[in-house]
Amino acid sequence: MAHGASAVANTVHLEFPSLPENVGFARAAVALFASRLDFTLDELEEIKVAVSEAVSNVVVHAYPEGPGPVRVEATVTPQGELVVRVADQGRGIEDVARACEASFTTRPGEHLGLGLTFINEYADRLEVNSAPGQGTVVTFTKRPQMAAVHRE
Amino acid sequence: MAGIPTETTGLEVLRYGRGACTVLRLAGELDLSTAHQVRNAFPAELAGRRGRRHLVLDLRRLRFVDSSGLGVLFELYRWVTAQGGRVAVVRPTPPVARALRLAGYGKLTTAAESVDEAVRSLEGDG
Ligand SMILES: Nc1ncnc2c1ncn2[C@@H]1O[C@H](COP(=O)(O)OP(=O)(O)OP(=O)(O)O)[C@@H](O)[C@H]1O
Ligand SMILES: [Mg+2]
Repeated sequence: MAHGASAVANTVHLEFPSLPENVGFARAAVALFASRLDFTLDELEEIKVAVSEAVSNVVVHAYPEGPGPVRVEATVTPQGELVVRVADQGRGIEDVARACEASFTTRPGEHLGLGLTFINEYADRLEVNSAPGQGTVVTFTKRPQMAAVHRE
Repeated sequence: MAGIPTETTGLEVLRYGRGACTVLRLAGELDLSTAHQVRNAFPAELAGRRGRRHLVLDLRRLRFVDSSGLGVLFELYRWVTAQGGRVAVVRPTPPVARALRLAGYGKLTTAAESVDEAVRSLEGDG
């Protein structure tokens, strides 16, 4: 069996309240899970940033009334790619396309509006599903580039 | 295991003065949970005080930064430049350098190989 790939998808998940001190734990946990694939150290750093951005957004934006639940799910697909899904049940996003634009933020002055831009830059694919009052699900996918080259 | 730091997450901030510069040395991880430590170590009122117009960010041991961390670095930049000072960045690690580049921080600041070089260059043409 090829290293890091198997016939079934392997999934782990974490659930925690949207507190700032959980951001570092979430990115370290996902990076540890991802390290079974052939990611380079640079790619693991990129994964950490992407997780950090998605979880920080829940902490900062999703629950204006105080901490609410965050669910982080990491999957290694049979194709050997990493899929990370960060879900909340918070206020949701009014205009998803706009939210994904670089430098767009609903908290100007305090925030740069770069989080989703970083995920877009560091992951191979980014999907944001959200509607006002319906919560938000951010899903990103990443393939180890080295493994892709070796397979060819 | 490769790539997984065994150190606990967290940030260490050290501040000291060097001539016309305040030096902030950051070690560890700068994110939403640690950004306030930087703000506390360098509050807005400190910019330009006691003849220390400039700011040197020693990032040699900063392992991680994300957009929340960059947010506080931009804040420092605004405070320092509002008082007529400038900001230099000393040898960020590769992942941090990349984030700074993407955010446009590199274009606003002076890059230096050491704290000495940063201080010389800020004092030299300032
Ligand atoms: N989970 C979420 N729930 C509600 N709104 C969100 C969520 N994630 C993102 N948003 C919205 O999308 C906008 C853009 O997010 P992005 O992460 O790109 O920037 P930011 O968080 O505002 O700033 P930065 O990430 O640079 O600190 C946010 O300002 C917010 O309005
Ligand atoms: Mg954000």
